[in-house]
Amino acid sequence: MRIEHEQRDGAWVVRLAGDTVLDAASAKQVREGILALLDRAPAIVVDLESVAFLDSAGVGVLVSVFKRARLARRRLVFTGLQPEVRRVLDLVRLTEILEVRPDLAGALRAAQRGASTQA
Amino acid sequence: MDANPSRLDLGLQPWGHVEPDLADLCRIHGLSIELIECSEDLDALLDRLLDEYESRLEALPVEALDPRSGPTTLEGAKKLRALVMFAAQAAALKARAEAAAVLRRKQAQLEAAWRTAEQARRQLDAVLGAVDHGVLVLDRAGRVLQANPAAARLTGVCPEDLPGWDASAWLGSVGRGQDGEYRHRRPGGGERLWWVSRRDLQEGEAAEVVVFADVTNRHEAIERRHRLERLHAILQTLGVLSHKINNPLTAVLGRAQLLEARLQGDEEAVRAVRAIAEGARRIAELVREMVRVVREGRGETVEAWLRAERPPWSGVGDP
Repeated sequence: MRIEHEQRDGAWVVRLAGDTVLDAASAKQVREGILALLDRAPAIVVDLESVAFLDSAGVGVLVSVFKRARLARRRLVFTGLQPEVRRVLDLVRLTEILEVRPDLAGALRAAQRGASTQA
Repeated sequence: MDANPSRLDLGLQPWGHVEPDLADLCRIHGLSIELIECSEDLDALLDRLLDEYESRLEALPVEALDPRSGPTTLEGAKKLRALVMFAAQAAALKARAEAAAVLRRKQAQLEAAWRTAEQARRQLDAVLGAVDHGVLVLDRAGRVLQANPAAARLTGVCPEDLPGWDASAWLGSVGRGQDGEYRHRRPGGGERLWWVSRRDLQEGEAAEVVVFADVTNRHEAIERRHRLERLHAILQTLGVLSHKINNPLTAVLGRAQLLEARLQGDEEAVRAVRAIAEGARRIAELVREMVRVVREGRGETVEAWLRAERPPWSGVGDP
């Protein structure tokens, strides 16, 4: 799984490309890829549009990077949840704990709010 | 992907109800105390919830969230159930903490706004207390809602009696939204002249604000100034007149003396010339007085001189 990113409106949009499964096999690479960007980006939007499935290791990646972003005083927002991914996150109630927005524009707005208040 | 939503949604169903053991209960109890302790601090609370969530997630079997299989062991189901229960409580706790944080923020904003308003009110009270002008805030019926100390002093009404005092009686002489003079009879006697400004307000029950000042002394000062200006004009006129009269008068006196010398022997003519000379001397004396008054240049001297009794002018020059 590759990690691509672009800067948009003061936030970095991170996209997972290649593999459509976020599981134990890709978890480490994704975690490290996002964490590497955390130090440089004032705010990050993680677009999960290309992820069709994730297991507990994948869920662990989301929790882990969210935690690290909080520690680094960076706003991290998830968006682009596919139905299966949303179903898993809903089951473990993570949609209520993490910052999740239904679309990229909303995620960018939320990320910018965080970036401006933490600046 | 061969998803089996019904199994995932009810993932715990095949295992039935799972009771936590004593160690779990103790750990949960300890965690609860920790969470309560940091419930006032949303950041700390969320950090602690995420820590606990992550550790529970790590303990979860990989297949537990796989819709194709779900948890395959009793232990896995137990852990997934515990995670879901914890997550539900964590989400509720987070929502409550967020709501409380919003409330605290709003409360802090309200308190800050109240402090600012209170400070502004104190400043306004200080200003109103310091000014010499009387300030009255009236309701629609013209009754006093608020008054400053100067208003009590100027009206002669006791400060405690001012609220509710009917100001419409004396405000009648000055139209609403207008400026004007008002002669105020003080309760203890005496009349003072006020300059009154009435302006409309649109704030709650307050209908208008009245600002007034005692201008009696200023009015008198202006009157005095006008009087002095008139006297100054009189002095100037006197000065010019003295100068203008003096020259021809000197000629009259000189010619009268010459004429008297030439008319010796004609007694009637000499008497007439002497009467002319006496009249001219009186005029000269008057002119000297005028010159003295002008040189002293004081209004009181001019007024006294103007009022002074003098010999009738009609006698001057009579034979």
